[in-house]
Amino acid sequence: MKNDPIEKALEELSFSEKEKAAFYAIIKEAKRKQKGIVLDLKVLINEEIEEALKK
Amino acid sequence: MKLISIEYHNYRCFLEGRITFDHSPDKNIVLIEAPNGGGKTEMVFSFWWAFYGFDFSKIKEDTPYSLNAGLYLDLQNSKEGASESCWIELQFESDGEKYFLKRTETFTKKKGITNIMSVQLSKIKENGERSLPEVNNDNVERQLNRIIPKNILAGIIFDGERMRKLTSNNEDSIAVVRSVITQITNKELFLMCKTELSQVRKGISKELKEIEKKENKTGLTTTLEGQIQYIDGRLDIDKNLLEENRNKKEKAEYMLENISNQMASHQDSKKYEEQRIQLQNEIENLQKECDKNLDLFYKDLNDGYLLIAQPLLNDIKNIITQYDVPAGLTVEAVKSILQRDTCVCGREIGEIERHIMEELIKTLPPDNINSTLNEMARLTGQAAQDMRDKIRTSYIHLTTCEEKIEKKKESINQVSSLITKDAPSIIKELEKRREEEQNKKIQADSLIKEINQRIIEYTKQLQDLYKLRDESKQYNQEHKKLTAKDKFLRKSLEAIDLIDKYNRQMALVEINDRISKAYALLSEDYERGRRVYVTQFEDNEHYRMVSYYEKQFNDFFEQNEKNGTIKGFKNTGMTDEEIKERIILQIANSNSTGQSKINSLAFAKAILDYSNTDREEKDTQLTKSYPFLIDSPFTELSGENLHNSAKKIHEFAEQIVLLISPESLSGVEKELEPYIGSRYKISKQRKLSQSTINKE
Repeated sequence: MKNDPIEKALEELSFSEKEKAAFYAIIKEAKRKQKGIVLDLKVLINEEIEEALKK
Repeated sequence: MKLISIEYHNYRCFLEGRITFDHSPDKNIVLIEAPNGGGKTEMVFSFWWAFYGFDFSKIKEDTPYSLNAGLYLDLQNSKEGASESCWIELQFESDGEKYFLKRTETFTKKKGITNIMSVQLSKIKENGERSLPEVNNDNVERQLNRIIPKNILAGIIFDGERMRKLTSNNEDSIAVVRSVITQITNKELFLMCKTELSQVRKGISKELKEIEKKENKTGLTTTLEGQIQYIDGRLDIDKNLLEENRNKKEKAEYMLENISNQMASHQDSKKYEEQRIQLQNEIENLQKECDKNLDLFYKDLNDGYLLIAQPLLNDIKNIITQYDVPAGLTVEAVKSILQRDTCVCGREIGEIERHIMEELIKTLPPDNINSTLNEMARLTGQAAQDMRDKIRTSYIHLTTCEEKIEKKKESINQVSSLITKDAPSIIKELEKRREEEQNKKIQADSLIKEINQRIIEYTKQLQDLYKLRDESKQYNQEHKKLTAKDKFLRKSLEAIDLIDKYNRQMALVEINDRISKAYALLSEDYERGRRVYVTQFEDNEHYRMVSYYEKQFNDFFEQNEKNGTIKGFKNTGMTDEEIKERIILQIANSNSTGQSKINSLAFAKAILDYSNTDREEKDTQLTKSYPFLIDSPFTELSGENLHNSAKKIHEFAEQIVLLISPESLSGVEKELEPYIGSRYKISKQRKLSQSTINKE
């Protein structure tokens, strides 16, 4: 059993490597936003999804 | 998070007083010694009040307010409008930032006593200056909740009484565990992601609905493909038919040419055949002219609506007859006359004429709507007349051509009858074949025209269908892309819920492990097989702390194994951990006061250890160091429980604020002494409800 809750959840939901990368990137930026850095997370989410869906 | 200082003014039993929490890593205990009734509990809850406010009726029902009781009584007996304030100033640091928090409550005599509370939170800069304070209570609370969540206070601020209650089925311990897990696993981060992802998903869902609405094409592509296939098939058939008839026509033309050549070479028919060829050439030329006129006629008919507009124009003219505006007389024309001294007729233009012309301007186009309409009706009427003339002309040309063609055809018929008259049989035979071929040619020609018309229509239909299909494909591609995005977002939202579940599960496993170790460290009962456990799985018992004896657990487990209960649990899909918890809850037993205190201490240590664990490897989780404030932890403890707790209490947190009575201190001073960083003494004053704070 994996000890990292994120990794475990993503594997359980069959995230592809690209999808995982997009998800981690979103979390990373959300952390920056949580620290008070002003950024539009929605734009980033859209960009990351576009990237993840590229074949 | 570490406390730097606390200062009181008119607060409860502390009229004035200040404590600076001097400590070092080796000497991390700030010891506050006070006699029973001296204000230890008041001080413990003063931190609570400073952070989030506090309901004082929980500790003293007769004085449920923050203001010093003596001042409160004085205020009650004073004049209307008199007021008194109390406040606490708390300085603390968290994540490298220093903060200044001040909570003030003002009491005013106004038909009884009314009170208003205010709070301010500011950062302390390196030079000691404070930033502009946040004074909105909700915003302050939100910021404080990030530093030291309200619910966590119940796990790190203990009074002797509450420590006994914590392990009974008390909401406080549940709230502490929930809160600490929420903060350490950084639930706020995932909630933020969830909100943002949900909003993006909402946008995508809206886009998808718009596309579907625009498209309204469930199965449209299939229908389109079917139509395209059908028309394509018809087009192929017609193209083949066209080719076939062209060949027929060519063959007939070839035959006709051949027959014509034979007749032209024959003495008896040569003259007539040459005439006929001449006439046919003339007919062909006339036919071209006729086609040209027909095109012109059709083109002019594009403006045919003007013909039916004439009655409407007549109506407009009748309605606006009151304006007798000469054709072509416009504002510009009259203005140009007004610029002259004399009229074109040589007559002088006087004031009266000028006035008449200025009045006239108002009725003229484009300044007056009636005049404008009149002018437009006039111009449109003129355009209609022009169009009528054009149509008439092209129609005359067309009919003239057709008449000429008819005449030429009659001439050909006459010539044809002359060819066969008294002609030898070979000529008659050739003429008969000629007529047959001519009919074939006419038939093929007619079919070619018909098929060509159909091909034009089919081609246009196909173009329209291809356009629709392309649009539909574009919609489909966009739809597909958005659906894929939506799928990813849905999965991500599901993942966040799963992450929260796994975070909670793993945190509870970790807390249980830590509570077990803390209990082993502090309690003499551990060696006797007594254990503590925080429930993880039972929905109704979540986060509840219970204690049990290991032997009893093993016996009960064995008994349940024998009677098949364990097997039954496993058959329902329960994991070993879930079964263990079910058994523990069945054998959980009550605690004595001393046992409850040790359980609470173990619980606090586990929570503080869990919060303070370095979690660098778990990028999204946080490490939080909280101070531990405890009142009278050692009373009611004895034996190993007392000595273990006293020896180990400095390990609970990086900063310990320990409130203790002189009697209790005398029993554990030896164990505590090496770790005391600073020492204060609270003295009870003769006058009731007042205590003073002095540094030792």
